Amino acid sequence: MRFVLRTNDFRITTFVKHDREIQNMLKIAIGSISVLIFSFSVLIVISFFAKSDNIDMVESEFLLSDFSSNRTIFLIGSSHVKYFNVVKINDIISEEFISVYNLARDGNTPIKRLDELDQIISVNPEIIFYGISYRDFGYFNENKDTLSLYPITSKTLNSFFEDWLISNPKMISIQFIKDLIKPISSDKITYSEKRTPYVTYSSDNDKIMTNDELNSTFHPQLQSDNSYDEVLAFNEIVDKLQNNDIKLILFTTPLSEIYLKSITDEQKNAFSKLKENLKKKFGIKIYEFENKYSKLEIWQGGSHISYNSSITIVNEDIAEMIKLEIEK
Amino acid sequence: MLFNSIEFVIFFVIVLAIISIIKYGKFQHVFLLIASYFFFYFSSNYLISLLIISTVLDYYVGKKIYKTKSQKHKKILLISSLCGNLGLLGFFKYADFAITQFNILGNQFDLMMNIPLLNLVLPIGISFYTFQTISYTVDVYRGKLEPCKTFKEFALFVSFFPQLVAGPIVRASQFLPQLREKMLQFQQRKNFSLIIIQNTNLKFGITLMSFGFLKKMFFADNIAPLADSIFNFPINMTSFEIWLGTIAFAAQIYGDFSGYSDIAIGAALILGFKFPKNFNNPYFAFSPSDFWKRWHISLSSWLRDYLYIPLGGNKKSSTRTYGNLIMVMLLGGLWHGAATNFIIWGLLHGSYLAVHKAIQNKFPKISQSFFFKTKVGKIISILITQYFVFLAWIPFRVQNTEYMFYSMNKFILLDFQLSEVFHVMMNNKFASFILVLFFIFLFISYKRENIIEKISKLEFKYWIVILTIISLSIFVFFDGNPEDFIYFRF
Repeated sequence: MRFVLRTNDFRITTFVKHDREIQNMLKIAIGSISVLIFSFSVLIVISFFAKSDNIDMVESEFLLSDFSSNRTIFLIGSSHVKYFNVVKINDIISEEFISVYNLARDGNTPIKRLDELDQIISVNPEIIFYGISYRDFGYFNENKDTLSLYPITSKTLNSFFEDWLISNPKMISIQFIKDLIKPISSDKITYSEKRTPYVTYSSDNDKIMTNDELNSTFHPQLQSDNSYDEVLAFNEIVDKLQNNDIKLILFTTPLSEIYLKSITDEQKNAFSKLKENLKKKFGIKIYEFENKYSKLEIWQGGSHISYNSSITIVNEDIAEMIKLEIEK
Repeated sequence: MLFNSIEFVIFFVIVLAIISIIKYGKFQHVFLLIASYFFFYFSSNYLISLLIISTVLDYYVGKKIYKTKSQKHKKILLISSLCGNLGLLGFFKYADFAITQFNILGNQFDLMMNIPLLNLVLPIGISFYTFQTISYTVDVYRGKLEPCKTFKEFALFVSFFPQLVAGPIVRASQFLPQLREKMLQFQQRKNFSLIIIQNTNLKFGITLMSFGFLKKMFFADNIAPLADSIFNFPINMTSFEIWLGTIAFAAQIYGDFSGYSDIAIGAALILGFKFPKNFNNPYFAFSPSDFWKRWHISLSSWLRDYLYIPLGGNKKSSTRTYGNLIMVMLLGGLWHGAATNFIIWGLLHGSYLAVHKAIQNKFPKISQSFFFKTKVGKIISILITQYFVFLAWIPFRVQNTEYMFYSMNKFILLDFQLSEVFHVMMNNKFASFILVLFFIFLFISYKRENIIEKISKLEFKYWIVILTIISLSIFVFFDGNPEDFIYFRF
């Protein structure tokens, strides 16, 4: 817009610009914003479809079951823990009154687990075995935690959007498109496993990758800037469980050689320090499985062992760990 | 604040709204300056002090140089500015690299010394804004530019948010005349506003930004997993897998950086500032020197004007010219980061330029031959050039020396094993599909010059349809774990 001013009284004397030009500008601005809103709405619709299939209801129902007749053991953690077969583990333990459940969830970090902790406590399990790994703490970097470079505003804004939007639109969209063309595509059959209420499995989970396949498909996860919050949430979980007299045992989940190579010394040191702090502060025992199977051909992904029934060694070790702790 | 974040969209809309509502020129100038500092503070926190130090230093040195009559004093002032700027850059960017090299050297001579690393955080954008301030002081020293009269004029040039953190490296001689013209019009009461948002600029700027977001968020971020899956652990990969990874990385880095540049240029254009192009179809370059006229143009032209020409350019002997080319590209490599891989990348490009120049000098008939002007000749020269350009992307991407040499070896010496590459593509179907789409997109951009500008001139309803397609592609296929802009690291 263009104005000509009188210097003595600053009164606008001439209005040069055409109304039409202003209208055009508004049209461009409103058009662009409408495009953004429309695209955002599409994303929300897709999010809705994705979330409508979630498992919160199933979870509530599962935790309302009666656990009082048996000694209840829970395995919890993220997808790393999903691949432990509790049917086999129960068979190996073979104690009539002991029931081991796998409550793993995909992408389940301490912050998310903290939200559902009260429900888990209400069931009063005897022991909880919590599988931890680097990703649970977002590859945290100790220096970054103590001296955050970023003002708090960015975190607040991001978490605001994360709370009500899906975390990875790409994956959901691809799945959505696959579902749309389901009748003409060969769809994978998913199945549930006994005593594993929150995750399903498909033939992909049973696959054992060769080293070459693993090398070609593996790409490391990115660093998260929530790490400090995750550590705080984890401490809170430990605190709550101990206050409710629920025994907590930690174990590091198995990782493949390629995954371990992708972790920097700085990340390894920070993770070791975290474990040391937990041992000192809470007196928790930590079983180490991180490096134990790294060179074996048992991997479905960089940080996931295969769910294939031929792999028995990991389940045997987990069962052994549970037995040791029950007998104490 | 990343361009591909919700914070930036909110920030930019607020800036535009305030500038449109409160039109008084003086306010707009100060507001833009505050907004730029806020933008930088949001990403860098207390490291904003370095930006302010650099701004203050060059503002006063520039003024002094202009006023001083003695050539000797001018030189001393210029050197003090260069020392200040390059000292800051060197300290934050190269101190740990230098200490590491020193320790390695010490160990080789059994000196048993181990100087601890400083573990400094690299201030975001320092490589870009120091080059901008250097260009200002050098241009004032050369008498090509009048120094800024007010501090806020210079401060806005250095901190102008669209180009602050990752370029393009806008020179004082490109930015200040535009700002001065606006200020003059305001002072002469021709304009009430300093920043006037115009329809054509708004439409073109939005289109350019949309394409920038598309290149970064749809193409680069979705292709990245394919490059990562190959280069995170390339040992045992076949030649064609390495080729695929290299092509994927070439697409990723072009989409990433040219996308960023498009967003920056578009945002500046909406605010009424015209920035020069930073990329011009680099993967259709037909010689190494042509490539550097098309890739990161603001850096290559900066290196040419402030380094290559002062070193003697091509005015001295042939040997000196080749040496200058290699030296400039080596420093260009080091500008990207203090690491062996960037040195190798710089040396490779320096060698390409030197060899190309030598061929031109020794065999002028070859370069002027009719064959290279025919369609087939052009395609062949493009393919040969890109073969070498893509080879150089390997050291740029792979930092581990063992992995790097393995990959380069496989890239050059083909093993003709084809089956594995299909396997990788099947494991990364979506990324492979996007990679193919990307090269189709590049080809269309090359064939139809200024396509983005043409789209911005389309009738409103058609423009909106294209904008919706772009926007939907970005939103629906947005990767939840996006990579940072690659050039933020530099």
